[in-house]
Amino acid sequence: MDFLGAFSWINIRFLLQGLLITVEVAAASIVLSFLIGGFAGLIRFIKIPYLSKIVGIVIDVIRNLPLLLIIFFTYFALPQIGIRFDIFWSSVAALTIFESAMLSEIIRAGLNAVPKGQMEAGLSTGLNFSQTMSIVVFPQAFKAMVPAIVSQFISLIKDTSLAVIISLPELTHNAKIIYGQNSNYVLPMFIAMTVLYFIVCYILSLVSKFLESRQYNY
Amino acid sequence: MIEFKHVEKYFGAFHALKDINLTFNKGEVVVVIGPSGSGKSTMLRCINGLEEISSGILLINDLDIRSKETRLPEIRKNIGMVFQHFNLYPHKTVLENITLAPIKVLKKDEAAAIKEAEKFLNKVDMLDKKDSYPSQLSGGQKQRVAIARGLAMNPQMLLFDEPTSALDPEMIGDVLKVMKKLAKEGMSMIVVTHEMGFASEVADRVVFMDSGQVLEDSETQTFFDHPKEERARQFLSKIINH
Repeated sequence: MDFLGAFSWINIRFLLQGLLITVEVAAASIVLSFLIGGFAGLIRFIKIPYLSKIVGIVIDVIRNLPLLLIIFFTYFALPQIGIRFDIFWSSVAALTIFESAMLSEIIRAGLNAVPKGQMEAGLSTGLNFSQTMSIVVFPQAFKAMVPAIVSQFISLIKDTSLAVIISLPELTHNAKIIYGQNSNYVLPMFIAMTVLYFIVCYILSLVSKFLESRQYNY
Repeated sequence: MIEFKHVEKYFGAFHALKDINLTFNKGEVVVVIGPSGSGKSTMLRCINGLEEISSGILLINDLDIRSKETRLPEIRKNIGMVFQHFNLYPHKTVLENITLAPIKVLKKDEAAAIKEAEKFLNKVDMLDKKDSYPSQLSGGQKQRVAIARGLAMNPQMLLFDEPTSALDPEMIGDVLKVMKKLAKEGMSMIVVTHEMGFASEVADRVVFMDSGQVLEDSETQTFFDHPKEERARQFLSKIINH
């Protein structure tokens, strides 16, 4: 083991560059999958003829595929039909596809968990459907969804490491390169990855705790 | 102002309403009674479009509820509804529960809406709880807030869907007292209930329903003294002597 050599300035910088890519890919995927997943969940909740069924089938297919396969798909298969992303956006696309499917189910379940009477009460006072959804139903659903959504985002951050397979220069990838040079660096690199992934994910769970505590004022 | 003409309602294969012909007039208090599953609540929920009728004609203020031009929010803002399980918004305070629709639908400014809301809260004797959340209230208090929420839209009519069925016996009186007050002030009301005392005291008419049909539609006095239908007689004797 060689901690001093492993944590040379140049290696630390290389690790942090990897961490930055991890955070960037995760952040882009979180934003996109929240939007797409939210929309898909809403479509399934309001039961639009045919459309909701089709969306449901697509979600079921995606949810039952390994994420690794989707990463291969966006990087190797999509270019075959003329859709070409670089490594960064291939990773974002794959994560977004996968996490949108997961999130849409969380959001649909959250909306379904709000008693039907809430929607009826809103409508019966003359609010239209979108007002009732946004003012009455969604805030209540969101409260129930926060823990599940945040833990989904935490697994998304960890799942970025799978993009190592298409050589995305994120944290795991860069750590691998460092300990590939010298087997004495293996243990120090694993310690470094453990600490860095933990810090990023833990920050997110603190956000979740904050959101929950803020929501429980009634 | 509300007219059912040969209205039918199916839930899948279940025939919930069978050839309903009813008229509800302005200023009238009508009590709808009947055994569970008789279609009373379904009939009531058709009036503000929470259930869609399968066939027949339902006119609300001369507007055909099934016509493409009829906008349900327009109908609903004139017809308040009070639910069995109150359905107050748990994430909003009592005051916010009441002012939400006047602000969003009637476009009242907040100060005016609050002033109005306080007036109605005072009427249902709940003004001191205006900043509480629904979870801090008892069932009877929640229901009185729900009535104030309905009143805040200044509706032409209030629908009550078993408003006291989910309440502890000692809370029922407070809610009925408020409802009687409204009835005396001339509010048009359709009340689905099992409260026979309330029916005989304030109703102008009683509608008796069983298995999706209207079996009897009579003046209150006539209904309680001489029910025409055997089924209504049976129901009354059960419910009064229990």
